Amino acid sequence: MNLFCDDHRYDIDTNAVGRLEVGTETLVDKSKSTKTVLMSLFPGNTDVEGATVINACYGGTAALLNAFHWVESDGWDGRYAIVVAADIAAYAKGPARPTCGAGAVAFLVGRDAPLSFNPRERATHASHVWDFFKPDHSVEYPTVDGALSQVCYYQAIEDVYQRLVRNVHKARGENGNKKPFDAESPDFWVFHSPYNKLVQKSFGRLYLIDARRRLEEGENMEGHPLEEWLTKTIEETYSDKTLEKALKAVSADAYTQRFKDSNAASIKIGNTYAASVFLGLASLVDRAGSNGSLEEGKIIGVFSYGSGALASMYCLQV
Amino acid sequence: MEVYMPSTFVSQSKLEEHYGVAPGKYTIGLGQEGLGLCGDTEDINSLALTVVKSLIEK
Repeated sequence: MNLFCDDHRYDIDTNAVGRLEVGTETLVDKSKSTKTVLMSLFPGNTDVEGATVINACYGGTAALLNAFHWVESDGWDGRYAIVVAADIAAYAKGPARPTCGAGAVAFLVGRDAPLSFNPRERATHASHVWDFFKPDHSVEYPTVDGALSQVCYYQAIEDVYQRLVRNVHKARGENGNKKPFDAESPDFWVFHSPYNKLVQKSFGRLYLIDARRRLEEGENMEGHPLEEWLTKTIEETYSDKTLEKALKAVSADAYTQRFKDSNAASIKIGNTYAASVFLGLASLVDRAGSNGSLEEGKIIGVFSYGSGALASMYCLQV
Repeated sequence: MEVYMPSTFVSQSKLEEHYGVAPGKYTIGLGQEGLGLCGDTEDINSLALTVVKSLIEK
């Protein structure tokens, strides 16, 4: 079992760090990685694994999963891993300009930490799409197809969510817990947030997936508020504004409860690409941790998306 | 866990005025209140150095 640290006071001995990995898509140099620049903070310690991972907004999640795997592996030497997710999101003048932002998050990974990761409760989606890319190295702006990227985000979340539900059922089934995992099972959710409205609309999509699964499993869904969309092809549902309203209605209360703390920071700071989902996690730990609602045993669902595209969904337990 | 964000912010409602778009296009349409900006003295390496230094020394 792998665990995830977020102690308030660290005072870390730099020799006690055996892995340092960075997720970013912002380059200062096309070859020399930010990870190697960070080694200036570890004088006398050259024994540090990890590199910089580039995959749009997903690099930080790849770095985190690598750290989890290292800590739970036979090759783990007992030291901490540090994961850094950082980006400067800059867009050319136009409709995407208001989705700029910048931020960096660093966290410690080790065993016996306050947030724990169960490797059996995770799922990944990988595909080949051109929704967002940076082909011109002389400018910092990306080439982005906003409408396509939104559909790619929906497809990724629906795919990983269905896979996560199956994986959680498989993992928990062995322990005799038969309560079905659905959109409201996690006490809190954190999503990658290019802008807040996409997070809200995507959370609503989980309710459509839940209802379609229940119909598939033979449940009578007559009279369900989403009934008319349960037998349509999924492609037909992406641009359906009536469905969007219906999903907002069924998910609104749960959305407020589960996202108000995790979304608070990104609403003010904007899109931070690779850092976005971790900024959301930090925002949740800070706010829900302070008001006492982040109690032991609570489950946090996390969804990370990076264009191109790679996405993962996993659960953390307090 | 440690977070660093730049100290310069732009309000989305001011940005709506600046670009002459309909009020609410960014604040309601996107659901955003602000965005953070780096100055020309910051780059991704300085952001990462700041947040890691803060994590290990705090």
